[in-house]
Amino acid sequence: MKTHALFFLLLLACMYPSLAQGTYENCCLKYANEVKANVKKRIVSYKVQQTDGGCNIAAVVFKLKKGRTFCGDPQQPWVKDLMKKNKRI
Amino acid sequence: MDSHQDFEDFGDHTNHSSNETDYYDENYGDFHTVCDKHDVRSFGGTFLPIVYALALVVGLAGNSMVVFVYLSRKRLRTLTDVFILNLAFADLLLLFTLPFWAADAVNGWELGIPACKITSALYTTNFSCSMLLLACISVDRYRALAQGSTSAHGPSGSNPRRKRVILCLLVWGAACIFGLPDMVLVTVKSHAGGRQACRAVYPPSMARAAKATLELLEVTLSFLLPFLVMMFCYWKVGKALSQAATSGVRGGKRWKAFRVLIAVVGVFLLTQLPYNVVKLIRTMDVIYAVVTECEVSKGLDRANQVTESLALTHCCLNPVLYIFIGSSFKERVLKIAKRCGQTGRRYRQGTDQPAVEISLKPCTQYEAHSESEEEDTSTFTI
Repeated sequence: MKTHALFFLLLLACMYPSLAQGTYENCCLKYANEVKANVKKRIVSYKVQQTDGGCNIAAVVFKLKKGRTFCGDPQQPWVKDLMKKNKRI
Repeated sequence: MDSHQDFEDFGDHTNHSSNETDYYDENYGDFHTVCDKHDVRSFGGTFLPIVYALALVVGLAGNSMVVFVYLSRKRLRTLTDVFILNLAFADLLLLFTLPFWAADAVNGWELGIPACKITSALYTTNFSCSMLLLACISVDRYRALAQGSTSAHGPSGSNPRRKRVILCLLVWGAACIFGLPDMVLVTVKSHAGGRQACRAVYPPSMARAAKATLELLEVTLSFLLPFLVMMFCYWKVGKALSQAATSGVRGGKRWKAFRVLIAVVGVFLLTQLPYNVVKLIRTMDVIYAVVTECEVSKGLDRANQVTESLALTHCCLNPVLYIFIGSSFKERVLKIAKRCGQTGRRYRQGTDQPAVEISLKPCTQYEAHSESEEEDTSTFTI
């Protein structure tokens, strides 16, 4: 009986889907504080970072001229405001 | 630094050339840019194919030899033999996915969604099957010893061959179930610059909870539990061996028996522990988002790549650990086991199977009409 229980435990042991192959995406790790007005003017576009498995936090990634980026908290009013004013890619 | 800007739309600018420093300090001092993992991916693009190629060559050679030997010459006498053969199959199937992962590490996933799903499911199924079988082997070795020394009464099993088939089907069935979520969740996602990734995509609303739960389950159930089971079983086996040693077996032989046990447990720990520690840290990060520094995050990613490769090498080492060390060792251990098996075992062998006892080298006929569970008679193979 003891061994049957052990076998049963072992069957449970592998109940997981593998998340084995990491994809190592570019992610926002932290949110920026509200940026200055002259930075806001330089925004070209934005994209939304979703927590669908690749990144750990939900964020809005704003792309500036020269390819710079900054990360906004989608809950913040100033971020929502900027999302309305710019185009999503 | 701008060489890869073309294919990385976002987050290519964590480093800044010096002429932009003033501008950066003035305007961007306190804001957080996307953490660019380009160097992690390029590290993986060179490191992983090399490791996977090595693992493939060594693993294919070892495991196919096991399958060949077990299928052609050696009759599967014990349940452990059956498990070892299945382990070799699982390892082979796992190894066959490695070229695809190597290509993925270099170029991203270019093979389409069905191949992505199948490869991921194969990987999970066989990785979990491998772990499951390792633990099963330890349980069977322990069981052989425990029953050999304690139970003198008759066997409970009806048809041993049917029992084996059912056990193997159970193990594979379980492993396949564990591969199912991959079949469902994994898909190809395109990322910045058109690089395709083959990964699990969760519904965004439940992603964090789901991912964290699954990773925690993975660590506890795929590493901790098998490890504890192995430790428990092999601890008992080791104890029995040392008792046998005090009752007259020479120290050298005892040491060799211990060496195999230590190798089996040690290699499991050495290959699986680092990977699971890293995974645990990454899971904590998924739940609490503790890592906010890009360099730390990249370090963790690299650690994940290295430790995962290490964890994979376990499937090349299985043939060495379970066959090559074992077979030379088998006869010695059998003698020791008979001593710790004491009277009960001998009594049964002597009374239940007097006719077969003469031909200790088993033939198929013996198994066919042997009513007792054949696992008991010679299961103790390390």
